[in-house]
Amino acid sequence: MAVAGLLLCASLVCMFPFCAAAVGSFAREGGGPFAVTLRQYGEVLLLNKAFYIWFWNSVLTVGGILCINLPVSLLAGYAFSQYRFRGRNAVFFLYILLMLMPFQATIVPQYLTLHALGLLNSLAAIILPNAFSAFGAFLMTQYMKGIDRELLEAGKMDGLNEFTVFLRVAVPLCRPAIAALVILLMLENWSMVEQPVAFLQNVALFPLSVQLNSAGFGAGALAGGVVFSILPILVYLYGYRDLVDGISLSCIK
Amino acid sequence: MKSRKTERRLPKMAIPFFLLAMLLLTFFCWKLCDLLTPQVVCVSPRSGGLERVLSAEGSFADGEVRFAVPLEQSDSFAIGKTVVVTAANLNAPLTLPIAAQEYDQDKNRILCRVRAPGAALLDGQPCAISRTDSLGAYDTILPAACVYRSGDVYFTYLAVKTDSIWFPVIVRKTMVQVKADNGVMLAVSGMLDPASQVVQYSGEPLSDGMGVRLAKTGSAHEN
Repeated sequence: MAVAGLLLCASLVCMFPFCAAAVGSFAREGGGPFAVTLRQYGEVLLLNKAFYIWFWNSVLTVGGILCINLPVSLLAGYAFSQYRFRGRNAVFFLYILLMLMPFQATIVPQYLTLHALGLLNSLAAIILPNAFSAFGAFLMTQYMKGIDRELLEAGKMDGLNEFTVFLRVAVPLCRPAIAALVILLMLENWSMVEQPVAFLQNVALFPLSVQLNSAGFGAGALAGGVVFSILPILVYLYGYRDLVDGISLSCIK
Repeated sequence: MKSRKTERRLPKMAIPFFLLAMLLLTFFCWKLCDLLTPQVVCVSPRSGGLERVLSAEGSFADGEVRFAVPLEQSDSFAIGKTVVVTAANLNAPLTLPIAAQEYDQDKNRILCRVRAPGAALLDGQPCAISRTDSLGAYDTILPAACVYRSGDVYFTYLAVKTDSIWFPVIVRKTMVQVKADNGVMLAVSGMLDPASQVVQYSGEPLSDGMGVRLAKTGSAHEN
């Protein structure tokens, strides 16, 4: 009972900022506590073109990261889990090391690399470094270690080549892990702030997460924050069961 | 406790529906913002000569066209300078020199006479007299509607493209000095270059930094 109470308190504390923003987004300026208005939403959704530019920048960024990271992670996970090759453990150790490195530790090398490639101040500057993050490969490796080898061997005996076995057998078996990875990557990158601030100069390329507190929204910032939060909430509500399955099955391998 | 099979899940179409709704709102917002942004018509300054057309009304009597002009135009209508005379029954305008000029003290004006012997004009017939004066050549000539006046200060609004997402085009108030004026066009000097987009007409009163959208751009030559 005490644990439940503690958890309830902790969840209330966690939810307070969002609830305050949601309530504040309906508040009428200068009105009483029960004065409700949709003015903020009107200003943000109907009169602010920049909101949509930043929103679609966020969607493009997250979409781009997912489109690259997912296949790369699946292929890397399959290789690490199913093949025995020299240096496998060393490379995997490097992956883990890279995963544990905070962004602040790699920001300068990333900046220099992007500068050398001429990618600074473009959406690619925030998509590519995140698209090749090591976390996906780690999660997939852990999950694929649990795939029964006999299933893959059966596929090969039926005449499938290595890539078709991966595509037709391994990938469908990884559905919970894929869903978990999609949700985790989506939640992580939807709210990215440091990378755009460091690698972009053009305000028109910024994702919404960077601009939510800007002067551009004025009194509508709270409504903007609420709309910004809808997509991650929908993704979480849709895939939370897969998220739990994917993470828990990866952990017990 | 709910079993896993009975756990309710968000409908599959919720996320695509949300994205579709945002897409529709994006188009709607774009159109609405365009409608709410004042529209301006701009012109580019031209360079070249600026001319002033002076006109007066007169009448024919005793083989002469007589007309009066304001005192300040006495130099333009000095003796020997040519004027163009047009009248209803003249097939072609007559270009004639001013023969005489005298000061009308009572009405503070200049009376001019142009000899037109043999002209197909009747005594007392009204005539229109005009004269074109060159005001000189200038680098920057704008329609008078482009230039605003506040006391002794003249200014104009330039449409400037910006990096701003909210207003890709804004107007900037720019001070100018008027060098010559023919009533329709002004020769000005200031921070204007031939590629400048100077606001000629706007749907709303303008202020410095105001976001606008360009309706049409042209050249001062068109005016």
